[in-house]
Amino acid sequence: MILSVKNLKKTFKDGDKVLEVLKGVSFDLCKGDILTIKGPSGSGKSTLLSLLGTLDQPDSGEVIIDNKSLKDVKDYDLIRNTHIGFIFQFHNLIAELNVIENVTIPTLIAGKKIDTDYVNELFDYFDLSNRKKSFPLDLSGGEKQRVSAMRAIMNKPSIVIADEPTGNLDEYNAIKMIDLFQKLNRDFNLTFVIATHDEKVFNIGSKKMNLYDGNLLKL
Amino acid sequence: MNVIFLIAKRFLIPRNMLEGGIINIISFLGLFIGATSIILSVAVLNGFQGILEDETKKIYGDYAIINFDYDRDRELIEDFEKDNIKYAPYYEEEFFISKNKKQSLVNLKTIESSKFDGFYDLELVKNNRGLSHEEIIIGQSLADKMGFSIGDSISIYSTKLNMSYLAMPSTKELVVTNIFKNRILRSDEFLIFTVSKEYSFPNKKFTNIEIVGNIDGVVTMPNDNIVSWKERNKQLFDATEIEKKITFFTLFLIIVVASFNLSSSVMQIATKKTREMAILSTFGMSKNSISSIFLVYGYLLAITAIVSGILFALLIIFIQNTFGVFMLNPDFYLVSTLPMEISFKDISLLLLYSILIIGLFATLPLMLIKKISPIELINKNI
Repeated sequence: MILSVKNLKKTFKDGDKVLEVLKGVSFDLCKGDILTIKGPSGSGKSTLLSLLGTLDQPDSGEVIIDNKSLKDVKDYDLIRNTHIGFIFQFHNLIAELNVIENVTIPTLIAGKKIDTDYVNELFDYFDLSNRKKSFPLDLSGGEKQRVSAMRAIMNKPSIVIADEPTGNLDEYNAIKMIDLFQKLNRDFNLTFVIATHDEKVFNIGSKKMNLYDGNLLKL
Repeated sequence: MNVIFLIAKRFLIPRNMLEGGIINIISFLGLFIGATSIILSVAVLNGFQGILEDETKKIYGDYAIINFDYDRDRELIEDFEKDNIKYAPYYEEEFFISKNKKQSLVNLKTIESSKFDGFYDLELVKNNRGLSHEEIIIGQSLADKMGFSIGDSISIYSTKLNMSYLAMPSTKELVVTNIFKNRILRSDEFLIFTVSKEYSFPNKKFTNIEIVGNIDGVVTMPNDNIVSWKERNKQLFDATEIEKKITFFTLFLIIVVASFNLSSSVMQIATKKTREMAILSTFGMSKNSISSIFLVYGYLLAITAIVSGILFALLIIFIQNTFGVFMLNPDFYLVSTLPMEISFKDISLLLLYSILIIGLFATLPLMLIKKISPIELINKNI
């Protein structure tokens, strides 16, 4: 099991009101699974991804990544750096860094030496070899999102979390992105957790779930 | 390259200088001007202090044994003889000079006759440097005031009454053989040089000894019996040191004010880069490391500005010392070009104080940055 989520609960306070966003979410993923989650806006998709990505902590419940319970983890930064890759709705590349610097940021943060062969392989794989020294502003929307995906898998994470990855792309680039996810899953046996409104993205899931009223329903 | 340094460098020199670079340029200029002003001002003060030192040494030598006691100081004299250190025994007496109803109180410095030649580096009007016991060398200001010129015969009257001659003051008839120029400590208004006829060293009449040269290897310093030229003119040189310190710290206020500016730049850049902070946090960069980016950013900006300011000031000093661009009226300032000298110590002090003050101001915004949680950043920005 690469990811195991047990009875995850999360509430937020809004003045005197307490909003119960997640009411006990549980699921398991094996390596190579693609979990796609859909649900109406405000249903808690992003909150669930934040908890899985250690960006926020649950009120109760447990997340186990690669047989390691997050309850036992002291350094969440390290877990995010080594076990989790993120792809966002907006590419979120750092404008001041060129493409190769953006891609290698997770490795640089880890303080590890850059494996040039691996980086070159990635750039060939993503068909961005001629864009290494370009800056994000000089890239097209599709290229930016591919760079963002490349950055997400740079440190060979256990799971890749993607929040509305095609939300900011036109149809052509959205389809290319979906193909890329499937290819990455096939070629690298990568595990994905994708929250989306896009039916085409939702349909690539080997496990599909609907988050509704704080509960995750298997489809 | 270290990721913190890489990102800090890229924030400092953004691709679009108009968008992000203006704040940096303003902060840079403040610190640059501050550093340049300090180095130039201290260099000018050092330059004048150097002239003051040189001129003082011409009159007072490098060291002196005041209240010389032959029994006590004999070994010192033997050491000087052995190591060819130049020394001149002398005694001083106060006299009145009078001419055409003008009077002046003077200090007659009588030097052991065998030691006078070539000992004092006096700037003389006439080339002849020799001096006999009937001759005197007077200062230019005294000569101008009293109307003396070379070759004049003058009478000087002791300020002490000589009881053996019916309480009449003792007098001397002397010939002005040369005139020296040295306005430091107003010495050319009151100092007169001559050599002794009656006494020869080590007669007890010689109460003091002046020494020229480096005695570090000959005498273990500090030595209670030996005082340096600086200690003999302590008040003057303390005053110049205080003036230098006050100038340094007054001008350092420019750096302090520029540091406020730097602090606001760091704050502004941190506020503008919350999205980037969120991205870095997402990929596992710790809060401390994120804060360090802005600290390094502040330091890079400040150190570049201060070092550039120092280098620019050094260039001006080099040009001035080579080509003498800034001219002065020698009648007022003793020199015809603005003197400039800077020491490694002055530069090090500026760097040290700057690093401390900048460290303080660049750190202030970090306290706010550290309070921001990654999830807040991410929810706001991603």
